[in-house]
Amino acid sequence: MVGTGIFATPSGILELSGSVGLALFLWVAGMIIAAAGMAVYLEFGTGIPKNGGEKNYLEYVFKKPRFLATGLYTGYVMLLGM
Amino acid sequence: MCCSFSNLTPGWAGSNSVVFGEYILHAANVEVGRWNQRGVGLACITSAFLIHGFALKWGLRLQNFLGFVKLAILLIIVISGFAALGGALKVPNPHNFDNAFAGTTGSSYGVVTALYNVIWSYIGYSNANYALAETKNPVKTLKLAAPLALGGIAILYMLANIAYFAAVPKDEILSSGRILAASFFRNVMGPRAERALSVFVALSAFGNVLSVIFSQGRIVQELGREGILPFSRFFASNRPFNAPLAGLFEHWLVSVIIMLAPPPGDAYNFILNVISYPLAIVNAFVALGLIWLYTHREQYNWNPPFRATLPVAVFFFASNVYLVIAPFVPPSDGVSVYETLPYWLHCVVGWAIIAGGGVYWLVWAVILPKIGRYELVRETSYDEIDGWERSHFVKRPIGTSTGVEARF
Repeated sequence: MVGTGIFATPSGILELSGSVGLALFLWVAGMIIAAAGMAVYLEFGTGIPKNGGEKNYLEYVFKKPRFLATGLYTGYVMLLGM
Repeated sequence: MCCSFSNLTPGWAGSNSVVFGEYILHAANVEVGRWNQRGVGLACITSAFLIHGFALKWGLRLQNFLGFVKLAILLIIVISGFAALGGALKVPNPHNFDNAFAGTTGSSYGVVTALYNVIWSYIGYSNANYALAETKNPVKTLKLAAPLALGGIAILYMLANIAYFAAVPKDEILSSGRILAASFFRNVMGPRAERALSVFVALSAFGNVLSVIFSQGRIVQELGREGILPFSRFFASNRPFNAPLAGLFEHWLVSVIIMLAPPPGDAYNFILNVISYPLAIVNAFVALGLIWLYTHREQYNWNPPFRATLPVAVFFFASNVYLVIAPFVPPSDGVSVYETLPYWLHCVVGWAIIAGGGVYWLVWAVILPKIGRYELVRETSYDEIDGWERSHFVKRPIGTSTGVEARF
């Protein structure tokens, strides 16, 4: 989970937020959103313990139109490499 | 778990290659320019592609080693940050914590863009979900490892930020940009340590490029195995070096294009935003999916061993909807995230990427079956060797429900 973000982004975050206080506050806010996201992915991951992550979850919930979730996800992966 | 700690690293090969280039040029005392930064970044991602494509075993060893380097650098920053707070500085105390809220922006554009960058740094909490079938006792492992990893990282990140503010004056933070860690090392340990440690930050960025291209190559390969992609067999192949060369190449190509297309000053921010924006869209749908499951429990028979709970799912959904809508609000005080590109470019490109997926679906699942007079069917099979559940798509000619099935 240690990307290079912690080396590369703090300066930009200070510039955008204008103050040390708000920059630190945003790091906390981002962490809270990440924690909520982790809980959501944890529920899906323990409920559908297969390889492939969110692709499986979207396919499981959004069944109609047929294979739309699969098609959208494929475009996303191939165009962004994400 | 199959994955080492460094394999939980997110980020994106393109942006990490830019970081690699800037730190390595800084360490070499070379002025960062338009072409040398791109050249070094290109060399970085190409090396990662070649190592993982042709010498997988060494690639993984290197990747794991560099994962430890990254953690070590972070710990050095945190520990010397404490020293700096105690007065161990080669420069006067910057007093960044006095009047900490002076200068706070009133621009919602600034806040939302900053929030994007923060979330980008935290992202990766979902990475373990990509290889759950390969994880022993996945439910127990995930329930323990995910909160532990996120909690540990959150503490290290807050302390690293406090360390930067304890040692680097505000103006210097703003002018150093992405090589802030280098300025930090100079102010705490002097110029020699600055250059040496910059090399290590660059190496950890390279480790990140390695781990990203490793996992993305496999995600593309998996799509090939499921028969979703055109030329699926090509993308599914593990030849000739027992590595998904085609999938790795696909990721290399996309990374290089996105790295070279925007003007260099804007490249890093554009890459970051153009990746994280569609991710917010995907996450909004993932959260919505969970809310949908909560409200239609009987229909799905949804009883997982862990509950996020409805308020948390709603909060995550609302956060992502905010992250999707807010970037369209124009910057009010001229603080655009880009030097030359229009502020909304990543949103438009992000939606275009989602739309591209829609077009792909239309062609693959609606138009081609109509022309070819077949029906697309998903079949589930279990691998004979490892027992993993695997689905793949087959074309079933219309009118023959049990007839010959042509595989992709």
